[in-house]
Amino acid sequence: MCAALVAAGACATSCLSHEVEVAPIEVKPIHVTVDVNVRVQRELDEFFDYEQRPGETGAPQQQQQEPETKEGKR
Amino acid sequence: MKPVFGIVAICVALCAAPAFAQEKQPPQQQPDVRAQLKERMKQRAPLLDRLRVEQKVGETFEGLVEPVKASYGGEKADPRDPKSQTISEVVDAENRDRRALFEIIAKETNVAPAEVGKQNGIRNLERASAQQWFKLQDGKWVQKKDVRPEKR
Repeated sequence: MCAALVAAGACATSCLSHEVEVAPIEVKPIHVTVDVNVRVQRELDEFFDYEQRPGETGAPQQQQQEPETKEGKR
Repeated sequence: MKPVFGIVAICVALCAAPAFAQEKQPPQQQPDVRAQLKERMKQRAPLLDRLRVEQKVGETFEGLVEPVKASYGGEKADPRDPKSQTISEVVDAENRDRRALFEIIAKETNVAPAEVGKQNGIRNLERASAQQWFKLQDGKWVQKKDVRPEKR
């Protein structure tokens, strides 16, 4: 009798289906508000006139890596 | 007696004249600090570019450079040369020069040196490549591709 009950219970649970809804993970860009001071920017541009923009140096491809957190550094 | 005083007065005036003339001359030209800074930073630029590409060093919100991980600081800037400076030494030298530059520009533009640094940070963020690391004001490191600067 007990065995029959256990078997019936096992059959019932095996028929149940579980669905877990996973929300799509979206990485949104971080927005940074910047106040541009034209005079200072001009001075800096003049000083750093020898610099090249990225891609102009023919530098090798960058690798992916994770920096440690602020807490980990301090 | 009066002519004697007159002669003495003329002699004193003649002796004193060169001294006054020397005082009025402009001081000997100071070495151009700005040009020296530029020369040093220009020489250091290729090394810093490489360290940025290798993601060992990133730019900060304050307009300075910093090792992306603290452990990178002790590494040799040029691993092939055992006598080369460490990354921390390169970063410290660069930041010393940048701070001196910020002081000069701050005086010229009548803003605080920290503001000049911030403007340099904005400039570096705009110019950075997508993979380059940038340290935000809250101390978090992010890659340029994940940051959207909004000008105001």
